[in-house]
Amino acid sequence: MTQDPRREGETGAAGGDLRLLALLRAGHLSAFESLYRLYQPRLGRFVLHLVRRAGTAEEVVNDTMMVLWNKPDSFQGQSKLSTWLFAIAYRKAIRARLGEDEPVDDSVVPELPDEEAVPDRDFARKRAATLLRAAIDDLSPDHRAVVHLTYFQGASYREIADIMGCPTDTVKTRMFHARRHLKQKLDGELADWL
Amino acid sequence: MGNIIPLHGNPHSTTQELLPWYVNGTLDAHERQIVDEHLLVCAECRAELESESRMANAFARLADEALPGPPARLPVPKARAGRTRWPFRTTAAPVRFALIAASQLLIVAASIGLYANLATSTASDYHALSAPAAPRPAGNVIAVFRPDVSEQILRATLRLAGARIVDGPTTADAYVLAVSPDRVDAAVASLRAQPSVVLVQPIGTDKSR
Repeated sequence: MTQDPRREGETGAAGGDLRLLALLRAGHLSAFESLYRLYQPRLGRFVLHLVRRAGTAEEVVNDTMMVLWNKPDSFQGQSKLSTWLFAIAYRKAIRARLGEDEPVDDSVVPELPDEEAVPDRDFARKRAATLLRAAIDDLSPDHRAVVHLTYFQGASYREIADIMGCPTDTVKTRMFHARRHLKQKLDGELADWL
Repeated sequence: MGNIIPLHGNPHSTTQELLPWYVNGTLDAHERQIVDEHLLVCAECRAELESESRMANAFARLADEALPGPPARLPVPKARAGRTRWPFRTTAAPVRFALIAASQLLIVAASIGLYANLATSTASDYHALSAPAAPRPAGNVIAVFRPDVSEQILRATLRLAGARIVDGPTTADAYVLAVSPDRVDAAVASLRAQPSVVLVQPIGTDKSR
């Protein structure tokens, strides 16, 4: 089976990751710094969709990155480094979520902007964005994780199965239900995106 | 083992199941082929693809907006380094994009007229030896996409509009698209409506030819 040509770009990115990882293993703090810069925003947004509270998300992301720093050899190259990091973050986020007793912090969802001086089209889009965020928040954490990894991280369903530690069919089923939910919630509103 | 294809369903249910990853461009070649072939014969799945593309666009747009991750405060790796505080700040991507887009608009607006003249003047000088009867599809629409648009969004956008890239990127990072001559207006409207498209403009097609 020939390699999918679209994977070549990923190989480049993954190759960069592995070079940085080799430096990190040798104790170069600057390599950790670079990997942190690369992954903190991506992991942060992913985790924030799972635990909802910014403080908890920050802890989870930093704990995840500290696994990379303290135990770099536990990454054995059987997947992409990104998949490995997301899998750690996912497990930590699920555990952290169990400790979140307080109600959801609504401040995570940005408020609608000041309506004055906002063109109608922009306003409609902001409104649609707010509805979409609310619809995502209504999903169960597992469904939210699949949605996030697919749409925000551009992950394949096989990578998502690796990250979440579940069969690929489960990923597809979760996506099916999640899409149905999102469509119901956004009935008609998605037209505002076009 | 990585290439097992879910064939327990028929092509229709397989397509419905795989569309999100068809749009985000992560299916393997065989899966893509199943979906491509089924889309040709199934209007319901084509409609679903359109809906899925809208969904992906909505998410792409949401990603552009300020949905902050947790603040970037690098943890201090105690075991292997001294106590240092690293003041990271994330870059204001939307501002960066706005500047790039604005500069592109200026360049492209200035070059569209030039390109239209160029396209019509060179087209008549060119003859394909192998295709004397059917003229090559000439570009009849010029478009500029957002600089950060993903390949999968680009692909879905073009599919929705029924457009193909025939030239570009130009020096102004514009692409020349070919659409069916009787669908130019519809294609332009479809492209113009997409958040992934910065600018779209029909260019001089000589219908009397």
